[in-house]
Amino acid sequence: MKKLFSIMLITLAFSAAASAQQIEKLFDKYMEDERFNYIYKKGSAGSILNRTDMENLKTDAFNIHFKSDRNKENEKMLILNSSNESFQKSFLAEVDKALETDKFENTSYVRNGKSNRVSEYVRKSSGTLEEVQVIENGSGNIVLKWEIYTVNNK
Amino acid sequence: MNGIDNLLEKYFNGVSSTEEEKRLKNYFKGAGVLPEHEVYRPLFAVFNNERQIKAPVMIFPYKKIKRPAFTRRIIIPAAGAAAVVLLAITLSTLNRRCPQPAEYVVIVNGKQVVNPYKARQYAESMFWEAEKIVERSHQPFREAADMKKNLNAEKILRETEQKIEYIKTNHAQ
Repeated sequence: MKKLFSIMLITLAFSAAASAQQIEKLFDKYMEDERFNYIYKKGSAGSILNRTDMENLKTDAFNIHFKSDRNKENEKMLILNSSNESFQKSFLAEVDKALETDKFENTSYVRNGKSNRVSEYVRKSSGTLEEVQVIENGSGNIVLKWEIYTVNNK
Repeated sequence: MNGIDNLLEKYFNGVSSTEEEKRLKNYFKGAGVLPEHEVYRPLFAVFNNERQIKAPVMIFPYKKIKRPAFTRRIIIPAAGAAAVVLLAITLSTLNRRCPQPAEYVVIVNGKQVVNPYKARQYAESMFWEAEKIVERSHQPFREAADMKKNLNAEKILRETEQKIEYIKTNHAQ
């Protein structure tokens, strides 16, 4: 019985490790890298309504009570400050690969000027909504932002 | 202005070059836009509003490190370690719940910002900057939607009809 329990535990640990998100791995890989800035914010801390909330609300009124159907669990950002073009390219390739592997859906892509780009990605699963934004400004700054929400099913 | 018509045709067919698009933008920016081209002006006005996306400015929080005396270097870490062990034992017996992560974690160029107030300030300003950049990138979409609303065919026909009616009535008098 003990053996069986141990095997189950090990299998569970392996499957959990294997299903870990690629995008999460990317954050873990670079969060302490000297070329990056890493910022994490717990969802409930000083949260404000974002663009999607404002679009749902469809009002510009102040001092209103609004209960969103989604709660932000947390958000994190990786900011690359490097003039090394080949590293910028390889980092972007890693981001693209991670988003593809994690089955994120590309919802918008705005090219503004020669090398300024803002791409947005979304992934929905049962009770969870994840949003990723990739901002490039062509002068060595690449921002990768990842927001995780829990969605209240009405 | 056959040249502009050709450029417009190429533009709408998606075959115009960057140089040709630049010519169109300059034409619609200027004062000599012909009446038949006025209808396209809002479209190119949207492009003129393009701004450079600027990534957030990085502020590195500097911290002065003083080298402590030799005895302090030994005693303080030892006392600290003992306190941590004691605290861990006390907490593990009193509270078996998982520890909650900090509300803000900021690591700048590989170094963690330990002051929670500074970390919060830095994180909030960075998230705000990123939100502003994304928000700004959506501006052309909103302007294009407004433009589409204004280019309502029914509305244009109705207004033209009203104009014709007005001219007819004035001529009859």
